[in-house]
Amino acid sequence: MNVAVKPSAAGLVPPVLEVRDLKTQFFTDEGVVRAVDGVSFSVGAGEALGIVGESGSGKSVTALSLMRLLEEPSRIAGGEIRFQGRDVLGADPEEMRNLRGGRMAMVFQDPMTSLNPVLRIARQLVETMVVHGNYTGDQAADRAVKMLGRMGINAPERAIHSYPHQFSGGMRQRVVLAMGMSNDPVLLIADEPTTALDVTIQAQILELLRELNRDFGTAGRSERLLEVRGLVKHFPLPKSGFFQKRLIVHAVDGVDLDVARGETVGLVGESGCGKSTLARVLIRIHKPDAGSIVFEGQDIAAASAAEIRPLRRRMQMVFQDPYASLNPRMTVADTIGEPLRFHGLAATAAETREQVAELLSTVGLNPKAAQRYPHEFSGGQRQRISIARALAVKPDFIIADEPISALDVNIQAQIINLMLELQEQFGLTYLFIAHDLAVVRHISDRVVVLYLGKVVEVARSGVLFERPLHPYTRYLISAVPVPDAAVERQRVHLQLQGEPPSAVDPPSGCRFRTRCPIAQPVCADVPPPLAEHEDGHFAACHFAGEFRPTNGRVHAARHG
Amino acid sequence: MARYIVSRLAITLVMALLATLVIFLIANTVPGDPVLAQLGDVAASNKEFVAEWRAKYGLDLPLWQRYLVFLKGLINGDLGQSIASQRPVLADIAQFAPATLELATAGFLLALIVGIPLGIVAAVRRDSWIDHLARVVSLIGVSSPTFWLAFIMLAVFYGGLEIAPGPGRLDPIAFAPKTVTGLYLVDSIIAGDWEAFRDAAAHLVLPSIVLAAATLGLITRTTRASMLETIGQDYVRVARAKGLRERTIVRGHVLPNALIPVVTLGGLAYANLLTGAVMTETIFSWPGLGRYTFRSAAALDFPAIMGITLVVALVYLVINFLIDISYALLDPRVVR
Repeated sequence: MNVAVKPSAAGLVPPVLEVRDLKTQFFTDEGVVRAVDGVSFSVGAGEALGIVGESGSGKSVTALSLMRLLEEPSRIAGGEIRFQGRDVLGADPEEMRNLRGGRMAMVFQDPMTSLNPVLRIARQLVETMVVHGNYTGDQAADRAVKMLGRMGINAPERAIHSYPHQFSGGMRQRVVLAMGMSNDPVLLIADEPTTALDVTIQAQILELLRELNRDFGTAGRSERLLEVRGLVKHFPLPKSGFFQKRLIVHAVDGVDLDVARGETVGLVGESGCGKSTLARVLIRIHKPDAGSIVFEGQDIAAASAAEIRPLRRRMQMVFQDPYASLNPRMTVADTIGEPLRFHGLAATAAETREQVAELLSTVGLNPKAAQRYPHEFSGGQRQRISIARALAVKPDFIIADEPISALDVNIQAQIINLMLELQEQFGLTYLFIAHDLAVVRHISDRVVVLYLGKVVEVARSGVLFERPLHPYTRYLISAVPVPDAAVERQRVHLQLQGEPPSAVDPPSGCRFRTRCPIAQPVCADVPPPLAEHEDGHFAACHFAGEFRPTNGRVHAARHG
Repeated sequence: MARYIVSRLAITLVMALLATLVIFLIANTVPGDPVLAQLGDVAASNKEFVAEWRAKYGLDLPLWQRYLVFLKGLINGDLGQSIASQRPVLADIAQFAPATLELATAGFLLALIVGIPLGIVAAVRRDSWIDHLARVVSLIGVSSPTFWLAFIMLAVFYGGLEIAPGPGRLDPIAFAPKTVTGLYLVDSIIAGDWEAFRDAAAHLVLPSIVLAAATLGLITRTTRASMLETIGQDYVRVARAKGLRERTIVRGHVLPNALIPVVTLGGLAYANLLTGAVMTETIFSWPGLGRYTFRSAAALDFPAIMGITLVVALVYLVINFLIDISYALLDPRVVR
């Protein structure tokens, strides 16, 4: 969320907005939820203040509190809001109404739902200008056209007579911005104004906000595409005997994961650590046993098949084995064309053919190959077909489950480069699963390390490889060969002892303790929480960063 | 828009044609030979005589030709002749329809005029006394059986308090206004007969309340639910953030969206009132289509039943067509 203020002529004026000890609470049947609990900040004239935090951290509630737009059961329980020196919380309803949309304006998150579907754009723009008494109807209509033009909408004098559904998401957000700016507000509150938009449109809107901030006073922030909390997936094994207890594989056991839009997150870990299960749960091939999966604000963890179907188009998966994941009896055209027709993206056979040809050339294959069968292609070509199939439905999010591990090394690089190019071209977000850390380092913005169904470390790619905090991560990195032979010889090679323990009966406390060189008694008793050790760098270890092997031998730096 | 109307109209016509086909086929599958029934045993044993009769009524023609003949008759307004009244079915329907139209329209307007505002206020002032009142009203309306409600109404307001007139469209001793439309309220205005107008209006009160009760309940509930859903929409919060007055928000932003589902419901409810007032009409001795239907069914008067079925089908088709058109007017997303 952003709060921006119009520059004022005098430099030394009191802050436009002053919030002191704001407390907003939800009075629910289960008790009081303290959504905002003692927040204080101030915004000076011409300043842009960013409020950042996870979903549910109270950003939107703060924004709504400023405008006093809270709805039952939420109420402001205490604190002070001063706008231009005036007590907002003490203002009477009529005074408040005058402030809203007048000197204090707000742009909401979702432009698709922010505009009234049955009213023309013109009416929706004009009414706010007229109600505040700043313009007559005719003046407001003139100004509305000018505002739309200023927001970068083509032919505004025609566009203004449209209905919202005739506009794309980006255009609607421009309309909403025009609405917010129409009365020259002193304060503009923008609540995640780009979250609901495509990446390319996001960039345009952010650029527009930046311009407006220069011209009038305004701005945005990055947002999450996928947010996973406490995800659990257990597989019960068949009973081995009648009196035997049923054994359970703890494949994914309480995973938190965030993926921002346009980002590539690498997911690494040994075979059997739950990577593939996690991927399958994320796109809901499997239903999780617990936890939440919020994709674009919608929790899909418990959603029904019918609710998920439209989302399938948005999230696609590229599988490990290009030999097994393509139906040998379907031509390439059928494999790629099927989702197009299923999701209604191509109406006619000709349209489907055209799109298939285009997709094939996008992934670097000859469009003439469309009528051939998978067995006529090499492994790398088949993986290109798999990628084309995933791309066909124009997804936002692609989960690639070891997409290159079945390929020859020289082909691997081609596929990786293709994926990077496609990401740039279509603004894709990747969750890239691999056990090959060299590749993960090359392609990922951030890396998540998984061990026996739990996340043990998360960091930006460079940071993780530079300063791993978890001993397990250090072992993994150490196993990565370095191309330079001289460096390679000099390097410390760590050998991880033993096999990973069984996920049927994971160790108590820290799951890595059975193989950890610096394990202490506490590790067996207390599972280490995934704690933030530096900005954006999380590790689940009681002795994070204390394992520093110096030469071929392994020892702990200091503890005791 | 024009294209949309034309396409809807075409669909409606096709549906109407299908309705006539279904009705025709049903009439043809009904057991019993009309010729034999007409001629009697002795004449029916003479094969030549039977064949002559069959030729005379076109019964020797193949099925599809008979259907065409039937259609041609329909287009000329020939619905056949009623067995019970020995008059053309169309004339019977024309005689009984105005009474039903008047009653159903009065009931429908009552349901709309009370139900929609009640639903709106209930939603805007959620959990206030008026919301509770709306809930009670709609519950009673939806759940009380027509015969029971009609009986209670008559017992209380006619028998007990004596403030309402009894069954029938007019007082037994009053004269009906000169027939123009068959709607007594309209005819009495045309004739300038205010006494008849007052009498007809008073007679409409109880039956239209009884008829409207269920519809009123449904419309109140639907309006309230639809209003609440719309009030929760982002664009309503945006309207509030724009600093609009509460009344402007409700009238300008909430109502146009919230009333869309009410239009569908209202239209179908009107069709239902027009065609399904048998119980109310019987109890209130209302000489309308409902009673005609009941009488025809009891007398196995097939031509009359077919005629009524056709009329019912047409009423639904026309109202559905009107719903589609009003949808397009209310919601710009319908017409692309």
